[in-house]
Amino acid sequence: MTEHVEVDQHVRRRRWQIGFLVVAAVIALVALLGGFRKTPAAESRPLSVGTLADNSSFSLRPIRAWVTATPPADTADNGADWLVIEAEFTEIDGSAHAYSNVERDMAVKRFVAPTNRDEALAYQEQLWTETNQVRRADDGRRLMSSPALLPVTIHLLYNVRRGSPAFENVLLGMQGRRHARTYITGEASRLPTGTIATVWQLPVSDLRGQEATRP
Amino acid sequence: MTNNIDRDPSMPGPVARPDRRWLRITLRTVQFLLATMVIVLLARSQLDYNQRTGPLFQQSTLGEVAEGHDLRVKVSRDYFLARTLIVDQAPVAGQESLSTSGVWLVVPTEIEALRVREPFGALLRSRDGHLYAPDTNRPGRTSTSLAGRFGAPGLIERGAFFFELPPDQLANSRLFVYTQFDLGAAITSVLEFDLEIDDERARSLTSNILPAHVVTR
Repeated sequence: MTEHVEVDQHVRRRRWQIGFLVVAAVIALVALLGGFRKTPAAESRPLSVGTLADNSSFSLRPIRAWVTATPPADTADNGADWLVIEAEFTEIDGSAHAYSNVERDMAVKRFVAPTNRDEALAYQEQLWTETNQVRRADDGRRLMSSPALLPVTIHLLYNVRRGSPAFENVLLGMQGRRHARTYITGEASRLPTGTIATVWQLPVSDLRGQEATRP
Repeated sequence: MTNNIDRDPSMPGPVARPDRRWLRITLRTVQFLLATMVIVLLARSQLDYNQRTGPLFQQSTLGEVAEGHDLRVKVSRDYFLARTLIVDQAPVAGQESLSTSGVWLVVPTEIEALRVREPFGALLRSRDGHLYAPDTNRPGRTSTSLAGRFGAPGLIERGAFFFELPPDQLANSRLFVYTQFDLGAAITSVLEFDLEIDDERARSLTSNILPAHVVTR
């Protein structure tokens, strides 16, 4: 009787050992094939022009983008060209009527199509350019706040080095926000996550030589 | 040590005092828990931050003079909607039209500061709890807009508050008038008005939208 139990335990231990070996082999195989390597996440599949997305504070639908040498109204020529992104913007979070988050949350970077994974990873390290100004498209006024649930066409403005070579594509990034309560007052607010959560890829038309045909 | 082993177990030992140690610990624990509960209850029964530092809200009626701690207001019943605002800045500049994808709600108001020179502010809260503030840039300080205008005590300012909002947010909305830039600042009193827009009134308002309203300088 006792012998039987011992054999049973021995067999069971053997089974565990084989199991561990199999798992280790699978992990090693996956690692060898490159399965655990970091891949470009959200940026690998950017949204296209006209796609609506939101970060729970506001929603945005990019319409078109262009580069111009003309500075926006009442702005002195600071020796830079301007990248303008026209977008349909809607404030979602109507619990606060204060400044809109759109200027803080949007950023751009030049898009260069990567040919392999290493290039894509290196490309991810490239920094985002913060928004310089946000203006209403209809009257050109600076957009500080916007009424909740009311779609407004806006221009997101970014400085581009003067005379920099024309680029066909640009990535427009939107920072994520999470709902949280503030420590002191217990008021709910949408805090920035500090990372770009949504990315669009937009074609850019270069209007620097032909300002007369500005859209 | 040896004494203990050698001792005859049948003989009575030293007088055994009843052990009250565990009773004491239990009582102390109960005392501690009760005290903690009292402290937590006291802390919870306090008013929250907004209630302690926030303003007093005074229910007021449209068309009547309402007086708060630092302002006196008469909000007209004859508010209306417009598709476009045309700002006429005749001596300085030309006309400028301010379009919107929603509507402009124009609320004619007479307002007077009572204590110190302070800017006037207003806020509209829709049924869904969305807050709409008049934009101090649209139509701007040069027009009859009262938002952000400074009123001196004793001078009655006549003008209007201009709200840009989606028309479906009008029903059951409430208007708040106060003297500060922002409701978050230290305000003593806020006058609260029910704009008396039920669904039927909302329908009649939205079916009579003015194509344009001219705002003079």
